[in-house]
Amino acid sequence: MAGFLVRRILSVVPTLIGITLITFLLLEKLPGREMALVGTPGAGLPSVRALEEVRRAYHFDEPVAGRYAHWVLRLARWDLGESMLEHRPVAEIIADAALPSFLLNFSALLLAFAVSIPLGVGWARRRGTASERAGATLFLLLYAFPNFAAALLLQQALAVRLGLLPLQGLGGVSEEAGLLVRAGDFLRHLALPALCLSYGSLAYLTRFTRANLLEEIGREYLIAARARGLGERLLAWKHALRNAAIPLLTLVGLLIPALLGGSVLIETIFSWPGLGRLYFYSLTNRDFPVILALTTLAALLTLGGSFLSDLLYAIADPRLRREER
Amino acid sequence: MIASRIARRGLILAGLALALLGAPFLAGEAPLVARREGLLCFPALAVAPMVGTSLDCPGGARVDWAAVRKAGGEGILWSKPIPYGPYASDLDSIFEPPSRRHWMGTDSLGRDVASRLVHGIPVAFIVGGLATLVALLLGITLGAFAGAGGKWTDLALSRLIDLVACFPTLVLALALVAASVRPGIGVLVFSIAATRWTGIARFFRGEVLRQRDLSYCEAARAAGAGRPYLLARHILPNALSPILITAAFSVGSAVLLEAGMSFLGLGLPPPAPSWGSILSEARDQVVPAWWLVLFPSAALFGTVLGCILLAEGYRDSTDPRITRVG
Repeated sequence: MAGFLVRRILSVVPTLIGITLITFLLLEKLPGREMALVGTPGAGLPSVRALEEVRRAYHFDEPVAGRYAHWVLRLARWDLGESMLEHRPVAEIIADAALPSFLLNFSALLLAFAVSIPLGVGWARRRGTASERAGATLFLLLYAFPNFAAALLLQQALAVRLGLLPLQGLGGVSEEAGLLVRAGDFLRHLALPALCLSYGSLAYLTRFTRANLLEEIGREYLIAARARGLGERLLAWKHALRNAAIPLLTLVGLLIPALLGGSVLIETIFSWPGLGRLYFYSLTNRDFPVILALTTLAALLTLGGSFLSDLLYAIADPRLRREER
Repeated sequence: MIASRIARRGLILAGLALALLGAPFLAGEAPLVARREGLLCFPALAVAPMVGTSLDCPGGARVDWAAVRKAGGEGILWSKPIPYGPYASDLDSIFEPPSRRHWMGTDSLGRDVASRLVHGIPVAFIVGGLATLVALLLGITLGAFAGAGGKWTDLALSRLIDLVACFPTLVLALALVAASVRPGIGVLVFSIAATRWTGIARFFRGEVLRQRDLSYCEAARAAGAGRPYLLARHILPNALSPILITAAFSVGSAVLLEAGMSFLGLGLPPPAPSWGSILSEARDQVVPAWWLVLFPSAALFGTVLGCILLAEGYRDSTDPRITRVG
């Protein structure tokens, strides 16, 4: 196990360097990045001298290689620089946005798994029935419906028309209110974004669970278990699902990068103050250091996700560990 | 069986052609048939190459049909089903809900949503199709180099693929658009393609590595086939089916990505009739204009569903091994 871990970690290093290099070279030429600093609203176009000063202050006039090295060295110390717009450390801004993002994505993930695994198992057990075909159609339709369109529709229907749920934001009940009231308010704000975010992966996960389970159901160990007289429900839920769950575990790792990339649209629609919205906001406002940090972070999350899924796989499937040795 | 398959393919192609070329005939101010100065003319056909000028009205494109319509529509014999242009704003009728005049209502500038939606079809498919095409070319070329090149080429290219695949789709596409100096359809297509080629490249590299030791490849090599010939005539055709299935899926998700980016305002520049920008109109408004959400969503849904069905149908018809298990 330890050898597996070390090898896996070492193999990440060149990828890390590549990621920072791509991000830096891509965004290095970001047009209009000086404007974010001097272009205060209503002040008109900044003077050439002001632009020059900004360039010098942010070392934009120095050679690329030097600036890249400088940036990477600081990155290694988790010093991400300072936001051009808010004049706060980027690390602090990201940390502020990370919690809402995590809560949103985690609840969406939880929701997706909680709904899709029972659905997928039940669906797989009803082979050849009418409800099975109906399920296939339903999930195909769900899968094809884009989640940001669904988000806009649900927002209009539930929040604007019926007023059942809050329109957007995190909610802001005053601190004096009881813990229960505040939690309830937060959950009400969370409901729609989490639902919309989970729903894309929900349809996918259900199909995935079903396909994996169907693959297991024909296996010999299940026939043997059935011959011993175990009930069908126990067979599906305990024996088949355990083996079918291994590929599901790896999906957890693949869903981690969605923390940033997948929620840009949903967070923007619901004004959820998370990483996705921060990314979009920084892009439109040309907040260069934040964009650089977030793009790197997004790629790192993907890397971490695939690392995690490898690890989970190795834990869940002892054969893999043995082969590695 | 075969006849029905051909008929179905014809139907799909006809549908695609209608979707791509039909917009100028379905929506716009210029009528299909009109009478000017005693002559029959076909203003809608005036855009056609070669014969266009002779079919247009005397006076040509200078006829302002929107104004003619306002004045009572003299000389118009047969209008298009949606007699409004995708850019024509009418500030007297902003935010009208769907009615007989405007089937899908109007937006904040009084533009007809139905017309913008119809003109959005070729936009969506051109961006989605071109992006997929670029991704295919890029993926197959680089995959072939990685698979058939030497050890170091393979290592370098595989690393590159892994690297690019690390960036989440929307993050990379948005960053590319933001980093471009002059945003437009080319940049958009390239940005979407940049997020889609890695899967294809990875797959094709694997195919090359798998197939090159199979006996028919050895036989072809023994017969004197060079590496490019082997790749193009033996390995690619054998790997093409799954690649095309991926491509069909990919068109759908590229359309979706374009809509998402236009929704955020980082897709096509504003006046373009993109479905995503119609959706973003709905978001910017305080007035709850449900028609600005429902109809573009339905269009996106239909496109993605169509692409999935096309891909699955193609897979079922080309892969005899797949038996319909539950």
